[in-house]
Amino acid sequence: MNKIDRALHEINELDYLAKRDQWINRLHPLVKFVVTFFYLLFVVSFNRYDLLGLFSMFLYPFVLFELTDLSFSKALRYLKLPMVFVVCISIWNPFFETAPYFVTNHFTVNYGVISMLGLICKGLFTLLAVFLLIATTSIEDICHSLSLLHVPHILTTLLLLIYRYIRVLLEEVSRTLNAYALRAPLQKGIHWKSWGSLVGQLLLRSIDRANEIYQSMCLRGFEGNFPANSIEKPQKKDWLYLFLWLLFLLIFRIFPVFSILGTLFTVGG
Amino acid sequence: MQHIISFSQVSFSYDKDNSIFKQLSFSIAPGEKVGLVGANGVGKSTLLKLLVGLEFASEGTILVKDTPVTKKTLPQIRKHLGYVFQDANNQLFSSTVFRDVAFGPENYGLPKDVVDKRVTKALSLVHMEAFADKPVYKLSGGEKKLASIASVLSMEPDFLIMDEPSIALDPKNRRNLITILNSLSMTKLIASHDLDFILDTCDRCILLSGNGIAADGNTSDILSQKDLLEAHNLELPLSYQYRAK
Repeated sequence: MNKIDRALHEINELDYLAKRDQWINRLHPLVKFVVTFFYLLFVVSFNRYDLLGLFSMFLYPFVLFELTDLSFSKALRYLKLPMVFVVCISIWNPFFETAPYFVTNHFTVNYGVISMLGLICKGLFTLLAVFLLIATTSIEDICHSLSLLHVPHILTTLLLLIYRYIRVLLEEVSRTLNAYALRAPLQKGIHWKSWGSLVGQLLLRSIDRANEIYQSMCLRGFEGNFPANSIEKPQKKDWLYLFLWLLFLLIFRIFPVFSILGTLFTVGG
Repeated sequence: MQHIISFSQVSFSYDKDNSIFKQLSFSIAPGEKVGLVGANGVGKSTLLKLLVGLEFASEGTILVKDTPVTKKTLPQIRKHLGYVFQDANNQLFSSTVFRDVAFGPENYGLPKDVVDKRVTKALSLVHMEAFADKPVYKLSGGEKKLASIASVLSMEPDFLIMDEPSIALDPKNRRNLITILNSLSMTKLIASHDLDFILDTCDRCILLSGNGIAADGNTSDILSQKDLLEAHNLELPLSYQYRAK
């Protein structure tokens, strides 16, 4: 399987996960979206040196991974590319923030190391939360929930079309690369002389296919807005889910729960 | 209303030098099953696109249920027409079969219970009820074709238009498609190179060639004329070839 096919496979796998009949998939998409939104907001709101407070936010993905059958290791596999990006950005912090945060007998930990860990945690937690959302909610449902939040239709439609056209583009890339590879078996990669025509062809074919998909939508009454009448209103269980998570997030954001627990245990000891 | 579709003196060309149709005229009555045949490049797909308003005639008039096909009338016209694309991959874009089949009715603002009923009915017409929640990418070529037909049937069109429906189907799926199409009572216009398929599904045949219609009549009458077909770069359907042997 080449890289493009693997990417397609991963998109398909996410689509499959989002369509399963699990309790979390059955929750109202708006509720899941709001919880994720506030979680992201609360995570990024932590001071970059407040590692203990930030660690408490790991409870959200931890609990959801425990309560669902989603695989944490698989999630990490999906997130490895953006995580590399996060690490590459945060790795410079120890060089710029050299003031000591704490000193032990053997070594000094500076503020840069703490903020680097803080950034990595923020990156990981937010990405995990987004993964949990898209692995349990289809792109259509996410866009419907955005519509319910009065996000302009043009943006939700754009999001849906981009998501669909990514697949079209990847399929065309895969087809083109396979056709090339089968007729150039001794060659590693693509010869530089072929790049121009390949990219040109790819562009034209993608436009062609995207146009045909758009035509097929227009022929079925599409006039710029995706229909949003297929989702029912949130039920009691949805509101309960929302309430419990917002309560959890508020408590863990306002009070340093881990510090308080640590103090209690220290005093107790 | 005598005709559901009427082409009157229609001319069309993609560029100035090469015209596809010149003064093309024909009409289709309600309930007719019409096969559109012709060699590559004679304009079978173009004719279908003109009918659904994906292209517009440079001259002449196309009427669908007495309404001329213009940009303004497209939403009204497209409610009556169901167009099944040649490549089902380009027609199915939603994540599951159900969502794709529901796309048309939802776009027309139908209530959820009506949409659900229509989707169930459309899927049962093509024997795909069990595939409702299946992701589209997991379907085989034949299943995709049937799902794309269901996505059009859910709009309950008066007129079904199909571009090369039997392409890339294995014999079993092809036979299955023929049975399903023959069970649908609406008016049909099917463009295909597969003359045996046309023979099995259509009672009238229009042979396109060189800017217009070379023959129009009973399917078996036209498709049994070896000389006529060969004069327009086609061959006798396989079933007639075997009979001749």
